[in-house]
Amino acid sequence: MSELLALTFRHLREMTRGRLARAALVLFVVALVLAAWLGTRSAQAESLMLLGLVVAVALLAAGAALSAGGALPEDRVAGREEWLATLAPPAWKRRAAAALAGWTLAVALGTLGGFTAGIGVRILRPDVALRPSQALGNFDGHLLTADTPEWWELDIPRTKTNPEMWDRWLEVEVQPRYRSMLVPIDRVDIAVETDGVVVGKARTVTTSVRGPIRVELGKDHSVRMRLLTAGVALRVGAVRTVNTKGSTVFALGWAGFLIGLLAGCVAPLAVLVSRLTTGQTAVAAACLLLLFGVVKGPLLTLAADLELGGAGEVAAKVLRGVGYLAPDASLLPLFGETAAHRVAGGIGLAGPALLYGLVCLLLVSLPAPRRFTEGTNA
Amino acid sequence: MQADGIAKVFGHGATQVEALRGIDFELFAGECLGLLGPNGSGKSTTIKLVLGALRPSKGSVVVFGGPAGRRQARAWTGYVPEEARRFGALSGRETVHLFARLQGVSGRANRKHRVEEALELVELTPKARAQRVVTYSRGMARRLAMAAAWVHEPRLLVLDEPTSGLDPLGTESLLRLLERHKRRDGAVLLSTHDRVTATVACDRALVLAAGKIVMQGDMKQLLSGDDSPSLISLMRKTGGDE
Repeated sequence: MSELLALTFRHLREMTRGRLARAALVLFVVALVLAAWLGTRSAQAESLMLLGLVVAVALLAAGAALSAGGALPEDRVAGREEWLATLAPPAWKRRAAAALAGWTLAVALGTLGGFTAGIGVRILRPDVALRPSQALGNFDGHLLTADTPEWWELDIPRTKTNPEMWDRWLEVEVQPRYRSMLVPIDRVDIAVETDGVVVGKARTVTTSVRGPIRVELGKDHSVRMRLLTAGVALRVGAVRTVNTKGSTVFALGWAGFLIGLLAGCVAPLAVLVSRLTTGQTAVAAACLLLLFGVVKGPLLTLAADLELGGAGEVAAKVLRGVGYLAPDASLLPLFGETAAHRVAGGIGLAGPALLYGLVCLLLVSLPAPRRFTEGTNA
Repeated sequence: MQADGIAKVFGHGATQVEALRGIDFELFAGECLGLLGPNGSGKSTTIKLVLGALRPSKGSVVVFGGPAGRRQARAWTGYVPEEARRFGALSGRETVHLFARLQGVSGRANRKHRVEEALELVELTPKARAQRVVTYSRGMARRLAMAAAWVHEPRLLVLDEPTSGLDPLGTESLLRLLERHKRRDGAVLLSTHDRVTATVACDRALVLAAGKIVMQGDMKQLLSGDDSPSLISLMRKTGGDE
């Protein structure tokens, strides 16, 4: 373990002391200043500012993770690999250390970048607040309608960290489905019952037909709702709970940590590819797969559409094939949520990416075939 | 250390090169064995076989009772490569510290002491120790490589052309280090073109030419015996008469 740590710290030092690292840091600071300046221009630009900040953090973290791909080829070219191979640590530790260094740096820079961005927002726009939110199940497509007297029931699971729901509200994203285009309805009444209220004494919430319906929660873990307005149905999209309190600095720091964890999963992949190719090729290949991983969802939907169309079967197969190789770095929902002043997701969001990174780390550690190892102690 | 009939062939068919053609030698504790010979004679190949970085095509190399390149053998060996490899982003002190950790020098205080002692021995100034290695001259990089190889007090020191790029003071430091190592009953395998270094440091020498041992024996004997003129002439040809 001590050897692995020593080798990891060596890579971390080299990664953070290079010219590229300094250039990336300068660019990140410029991006922060630019986003902050943008945020002070108008109230509408808040979302753009927050989006700009998280994208800058993501680029910094991804750059750090990808730089791991250059570590082993540089050692090979400079003859350091041969020298290190004469030392006690086995070759797999040298490779794993490069991958771990990239991942660690991505997480560290993501978190640090997130906190820095949060502090910047706190100073320049103290009125802007980011709230932690948790997605609830998959209710996509459910229709709220006044035609039937049935209530739509939602159970909100208790969590260890917040068994009660004080300081939270429930948000249900809805879109209107009009029965007639001649009767424009832009606001609707919704009857809401929670388990803290006597049945039959439902509140009535008047809300827009588009966007989130907000229901304040007390100790409640069960919510029932029914549309009262006729002439329109509401199609349910995302459902979430949102904390009404919480620090913006911490929320952006957490977002940065998640981004670092997601982007960092590409570091073992870059090192894995660099076992067979030059540093530049490894970084480019890992970069492409990361980009694919970020937009994996929409691209796989596109593949399905192409298959349905019948004309693009080959393209669909290629997309699916790359989809198998790419990490599930679902950064797009995270970006969207931040732009909407929310920070979504627990550590579970990074689960698939973590698994992907660990599998790549395992492959990085496997010994090369004997015929390739002459002179490299690999 | 025992090399038994080792041969090494690189390439196949028309591009095949026989770097070593079956050589035998032994190296004992407290002894310095010189590997002498012109360029392309097989010195560096021999060293790589001893380190386990290459596998012999024929024969065997036994180091500390086991095959060369085992983890334990690597941990007990210190190696100074022919070219001064640099960990450019690290300082001199950080480089030696890294080697100390990787070679199993335990305890923070002990490690710190060993690092400073090794750097002191090769006479790197305190200012140079704190500088990034990328700013080092070739000679300074050689000194640093010696410190890195010696920091864990190895039982076997393997040096490939350690004096190339070293000034006379650096060579003196090297000889001091080798003397100290031998006093601790350490073994040295030294490949060099430098006649002075070979004469002062080595107890025995093997002279290689075209992958074969053409002369071997005590260094003093080699230099004073009948073979002396041919040895000196051979070393002159390789640019070693400095």
